[in-house]
Amino acid sequence: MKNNHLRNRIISFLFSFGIIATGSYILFIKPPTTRLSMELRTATTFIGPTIDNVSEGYFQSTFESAFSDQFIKRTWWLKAYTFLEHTLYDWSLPNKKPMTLVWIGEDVYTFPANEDYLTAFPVLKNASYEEGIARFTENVNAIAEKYQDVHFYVFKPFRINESDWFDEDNDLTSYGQIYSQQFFSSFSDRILVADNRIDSFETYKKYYFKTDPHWNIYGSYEGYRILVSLFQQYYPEIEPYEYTGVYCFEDFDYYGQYGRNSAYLTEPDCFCDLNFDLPEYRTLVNGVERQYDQKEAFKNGTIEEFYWNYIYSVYHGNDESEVHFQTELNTGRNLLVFVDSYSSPLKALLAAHFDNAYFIDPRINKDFNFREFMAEHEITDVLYLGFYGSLYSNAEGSNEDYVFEDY
Amino acid sequence: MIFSSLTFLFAFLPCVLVVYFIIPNRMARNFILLLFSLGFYAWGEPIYVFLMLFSMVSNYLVALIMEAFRKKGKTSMVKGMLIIGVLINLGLLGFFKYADFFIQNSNWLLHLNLPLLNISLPIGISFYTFQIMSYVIDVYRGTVQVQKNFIVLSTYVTLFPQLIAGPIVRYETVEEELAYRKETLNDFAYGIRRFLIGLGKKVLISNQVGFIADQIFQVEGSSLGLSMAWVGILAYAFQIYFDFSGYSDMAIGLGKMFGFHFLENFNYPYIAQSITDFWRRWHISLSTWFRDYVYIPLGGNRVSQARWFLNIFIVWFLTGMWHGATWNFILWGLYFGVILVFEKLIGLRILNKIPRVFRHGYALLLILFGWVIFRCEDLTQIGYYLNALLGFNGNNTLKAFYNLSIAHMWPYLVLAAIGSGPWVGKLIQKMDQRTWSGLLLDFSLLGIFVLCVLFLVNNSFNPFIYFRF
Repeated sequence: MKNNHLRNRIISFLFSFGIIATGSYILFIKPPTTRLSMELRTATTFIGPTIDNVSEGYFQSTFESAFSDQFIKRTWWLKAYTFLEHTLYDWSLPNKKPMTLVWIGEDVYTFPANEDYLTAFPVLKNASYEEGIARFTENVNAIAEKYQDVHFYVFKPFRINESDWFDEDNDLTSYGQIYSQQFFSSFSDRILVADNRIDSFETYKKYYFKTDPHWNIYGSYEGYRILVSLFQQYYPEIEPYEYTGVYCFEDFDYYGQYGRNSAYLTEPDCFCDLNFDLPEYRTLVNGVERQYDQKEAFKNGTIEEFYWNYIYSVYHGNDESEVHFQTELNTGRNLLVFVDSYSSPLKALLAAHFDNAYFIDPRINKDFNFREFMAEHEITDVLYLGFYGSLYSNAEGSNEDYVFEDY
Repeated sequence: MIFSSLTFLFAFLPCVLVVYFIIPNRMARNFILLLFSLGFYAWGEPIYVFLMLFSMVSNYLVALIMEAFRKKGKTSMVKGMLIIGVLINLGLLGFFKYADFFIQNSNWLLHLNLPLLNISLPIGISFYTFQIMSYVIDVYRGTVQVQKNFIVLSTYVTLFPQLIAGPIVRYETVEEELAYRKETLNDFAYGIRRFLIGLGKKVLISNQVGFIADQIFQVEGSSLGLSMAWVGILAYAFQIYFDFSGYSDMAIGLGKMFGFHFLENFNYPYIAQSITDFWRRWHISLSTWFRDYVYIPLGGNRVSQARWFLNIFIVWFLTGMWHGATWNFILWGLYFGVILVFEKLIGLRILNKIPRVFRHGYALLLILFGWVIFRCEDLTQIGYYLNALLGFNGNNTLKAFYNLSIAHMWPYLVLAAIGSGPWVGKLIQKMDQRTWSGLLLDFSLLGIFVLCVLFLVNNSFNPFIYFRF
């Protein structure tokens, strides 16, 4: 009886103290977290109640979100959860095949048998996708037809979810390769097209991050070399720049977009860059002269801690509406490039072959007017550089087409 | 606010515990419980607090007036007040829960074009209406004393542990405790244990198997295969059981922490050997409510056979309707009405002659088919699902389930299957009897609590997919 009394005291104390202390600390003591780096969003913080916000329920919903976002050691809890999930995957599914997709978060999948590479779900048959490709290629063909003096190029970076490597292990029919063929076969002869198509997962590993959909520095350099080979068809004198060294952030574990979004405990990536001796250039970002990349800041360690999570985009330079590179090469060549984030590590390299290189991100630069831009700048070359989802339509769900010029 | 939320566990519950136990006075404690309960309700439904207040005031007055008439010997007026009380309660429930259902069906039946009211359902209205109705009826019957203190009656109605999802606590169960309860360390500790068991059921099992069920029920009917369909309906059966019984455990546990002793609401329903047995084990507070306030007043089984069957169908029609204002719930209720009539006529006699394992199989099969009706909102989907369960949809390989993205979650189903039997309960009872195993049990429960927090924090993980590239 006495022992039971002691037992009752212990559980009553531990439970009551635990919830009271934790709740009090979160509500009254803990300094508020402002950013959630794993989720790439602003953390919800507590707000004061008013008659309006309480009656509308806004105070309550904000309080609940804030309580979750501000929870003690939230990242630790998330990682502990993914560790449990990971363990469950490991022993619950027998006969795991190398490319079996396992869902691990919002839109992230992994292959447990394949070093935990993270990916999105394969591209499946989709009528609007097909129509989007058709409209994009039709638009680019029409533009190329009109600007006979300008060289046109299309380069599509490869992504793992357009491969058909998943098909056998997952009973899927992925349409990435079919759409890729449709994409490239739809351009007129006026347009030079290429991609960095990768045929095996082993090769993929060399060129792409494990935790991010983007190519790593070797993948982007490979893309650059392919692009130069396209330029060479009009400008044989252009030679690709060779890298003079490799710089790796040895003490930093890089978790890319998929790694952060899923909180999955995969092995991190190592973030590296290649050194080049490029000609001098100045950059104007959205019309303002400033440094586009932040390579030196990262190397010197002066970058804000938060940005380390987004090193791919911040290091090479963010997605911007317009980035203008200006060299003093006097080549007589001016390049206009429509880009998505795959272009970030390439911009300076590409610009190093032109007097001016303008990089327009159609996802951000909604008011861009092709006709006016061509009239105002002496553009000799136009390149569409991006995964086709980014270039032919708005990727943020509105299904709005990017029309580069109306005809 | 739900019990299985970080806000409840680390903000609401600590506040109510601290304030409640600091105040020594019984009536002040009731008042504190009332205030916190109103806050608990208003958290999700600020406007509907007034509806609940109206319901409480009107029923309080009805009972008082009824008692006054009784003292004056005006029996017909007493009955009149009962009718008024029941009409007020059913009127509120009918308007807020069933108005659109009636409009939709009138439009369909009479080719009308009446606009829908689109009223959002006040949380817990079915539960608190039934509770307060039982109070008015019991006052009429004289089985409980009229409560003259409005705070005490309101505390009973709004008591946050059972306000939103039951169990349906009758006034007679807590009548004494509202005035004279004594909170003890023993009850408090038991309450914590029971609460943690319920929380574990909800967060660690129900939510997880619910995820499996949701994924499978989203599969288009025609591509739903045999393995998927069976896993899906089993997952749903476990989800609904662990969700509801988990909530009841939490309610009973919280009640104990504050000195109330609510009656049990579940008794391992999936070990039932007939549907009659199942309904003695499932949502006991609702079944007994309908028995005592509808079935028996209608005459129960002490009437002609035809009338008896009619009584059964009325009760099961209402049981179905109580669960929701759609036809599938009514169909679900009537489905059990038919089975219960069959069992009363010959079924139970046959069942008693066959081995236990077959009786169990029979009951489980009918329960699972029932859950299909309960879960699928339209007849077409019900048809597809039943077809899939019987293997008529094709895609009948185990691989169909294996290929789903949630296939790795099957251990939760095993956990649920073990947890739905009496074995875990017996183990807990045994452990509870000895000090050291009891301590081990307590630390295991605290471990479950930590695990629940882990899952709840993860629920808040909400990555913003900024670009799809």
